[in-house]
Amino acid sequence: MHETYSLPDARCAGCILKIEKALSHVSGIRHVRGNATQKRIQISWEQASHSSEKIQSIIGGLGYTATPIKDAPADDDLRPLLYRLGVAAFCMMNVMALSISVWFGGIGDMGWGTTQFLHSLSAVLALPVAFYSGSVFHVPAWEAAKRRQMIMDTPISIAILVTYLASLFELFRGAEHVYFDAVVGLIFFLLIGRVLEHIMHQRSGDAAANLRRFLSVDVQRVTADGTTELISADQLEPGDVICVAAGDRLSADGELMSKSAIVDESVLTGESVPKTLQKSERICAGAILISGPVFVKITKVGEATEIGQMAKMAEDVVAHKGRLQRLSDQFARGYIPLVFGGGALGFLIWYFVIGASFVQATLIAVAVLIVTCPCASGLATPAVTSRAMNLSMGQGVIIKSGRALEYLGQVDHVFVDKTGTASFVTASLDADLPTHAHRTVQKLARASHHPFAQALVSDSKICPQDDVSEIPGKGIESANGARLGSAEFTGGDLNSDYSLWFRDQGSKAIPIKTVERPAAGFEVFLDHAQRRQMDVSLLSGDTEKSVRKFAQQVGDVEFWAKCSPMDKSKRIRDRVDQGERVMMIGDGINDCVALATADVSVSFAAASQIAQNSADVVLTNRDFSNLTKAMEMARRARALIAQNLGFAMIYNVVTIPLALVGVLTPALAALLMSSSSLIVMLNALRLRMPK
Amino acid sequence: MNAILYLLPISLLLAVISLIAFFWTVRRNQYQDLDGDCLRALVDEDLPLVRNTVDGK
Repeated sequence: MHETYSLPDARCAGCILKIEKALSHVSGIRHVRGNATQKRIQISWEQASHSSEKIQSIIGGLGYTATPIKDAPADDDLRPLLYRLGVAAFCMMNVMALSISVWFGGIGDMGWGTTQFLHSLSAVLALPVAFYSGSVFHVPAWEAAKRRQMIMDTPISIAILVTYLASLFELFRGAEHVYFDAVVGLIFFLLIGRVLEHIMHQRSGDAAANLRRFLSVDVQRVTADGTTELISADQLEPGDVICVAAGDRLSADGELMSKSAIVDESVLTGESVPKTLQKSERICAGAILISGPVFVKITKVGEATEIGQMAKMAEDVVAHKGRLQRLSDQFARGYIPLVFGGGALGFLIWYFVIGASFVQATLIAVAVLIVTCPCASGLATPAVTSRAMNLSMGQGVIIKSGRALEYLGQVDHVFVDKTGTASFVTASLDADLPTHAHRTVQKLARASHHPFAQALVSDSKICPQDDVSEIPGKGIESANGARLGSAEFTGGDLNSDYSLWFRDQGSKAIPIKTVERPAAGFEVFLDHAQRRQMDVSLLSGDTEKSVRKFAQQVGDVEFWAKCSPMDKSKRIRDRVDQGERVMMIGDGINDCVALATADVSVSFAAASQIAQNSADVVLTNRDFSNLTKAMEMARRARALIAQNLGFAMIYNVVTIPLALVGVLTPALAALLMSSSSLIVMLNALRLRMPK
Repeated sequence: MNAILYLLPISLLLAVISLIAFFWTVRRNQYQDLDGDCLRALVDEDLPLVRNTVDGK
């Protein structure tokens, strides 16, 4: 058996080596090799003596979490690039040594024969560079040419071939100067840029794969004795019965066992109108339960389910190469004619107007081709974005898109859902409630993801009540009329302090005592908001009294009580219409509309999945100080992107005229071009997570 | 000047050897874990070297 595990908890090479050493002493394990850069470990063992679970528990015993990486992305191999870079480096050093002796030796000292000998040697050395190392550019350019398209590599490929052939022509003519040094220099510098770029993409890809752990889905399986247990979705087997709460997404295909259910299958069908399913109808993985909870009997598990969806989400997280590439290729389609136009212009002016030699004019055209290559402006934004996303991921903040990152750094107004987001709830079923009701309350509460409900459930094995429905923003009702929820919903005293009530069938509503404390880091977040002049408002469906109490507790925050999901969205819409950048932080099904309305929305990994889906930013644990750091970092990221774009513009404005007047040789142009990309990437590395 | 006729090939030969060495390191995946491999040398193996042979592994 062979498996690769990600080790997200490992902090340094020491941790990895510790695990490696411990495992190598376990009998039955054949081979262990950790990788500290990727935070992964590869283990192979004898099938008979161990299982993957056992390996994970051994690593768990050392204090680390190991998660198997099932669909590790096809290892983007760096080696072909390194071979080409090695060849280019080797030939460049030798060609430079030969060329410099020609330049400084002077034709007089050396004699024609010696010069020709050195030039011929250069031509031979430059040959593998131009064609083998250069294939990195030629192959994609050729592929594109067959589709009658031009990409970023097209002008580079042409520049390489033109310079090499022109030099060869000059060599046979017995001319004084050849430009093989330019060819190899050009390719060497460009390849360095390529290798660095490749490493950057690889790291973000690794991070995305390691991240899947956070996005893995837990499901409630109903066991034979009627209790439930929380298991990971990939452990589900056909025939299992699971309980799915409202707002959750189904992890595998199944058959509905409850009487009816309303589901949103928009992920699968694109149809956004919820559908009502009857008992024993088929319900597909990926569908989101609008009503709930329901019981589902699993019929099919496999790749095409939740896990696949989540993996896709993780890949969206980092600015991925495919998308960046497409974007830059689109850019290239418009820009490359300009590049060729500039090159042609340079050639025409120098050959016909100024009267330079054919080869001289060609070299100027080549310098223009290389120097105008818009790599720096193409890299300016993605270099910073992917760095920012990686950094925030390390802090437990998953930023799903570049747009979200952009808005995160310029928020004017923050709306925060109170219960379960800004506040942490503890509830106790105390003496007010008759003991026989405790079980009913817990069974009802078990059916919901609402923070109040979650706080009530003390025994995680309790099986949720069948046939209950959750009304977002109000409460839960069972088929026999027992209700758990707001005072309004259960008919409790509207003016009391209590936010949560329970009413058994036919009896009076009884209040349930709840205590709310601000969530971790919420005060830090409010401080930061004040410093950055962001307004913060609490939005809550709770009673005026309890929201006021909480708002005063955290320091006089503006609040809106008794908001329905629509009210929340309307408050946000008002602000958005006024031109403010609005951020919404929420966790529940009742926050979804609001989350979608805001410019940038934040949710938690523990929140209902529908909220996580609507959110642009997901926090892996509910700690507002992480969000504060991410917002501060997003601000810096914006500044760096602006710097980068400014630099790229200045670079092009300065270098294109220089190339046109003939100051730049092709190799110098290549050096300038690669260093401009390098500067942009190094500038992105200045981005750090605020302490 | 005739010296370069044999000095140049010698220098090229040396360079080719270093290129081959580089290819070998790439082939052996020595650039995959730059953060970890440099620290491996520092880790003390506290077990006697004979252990493996005693166990018969």
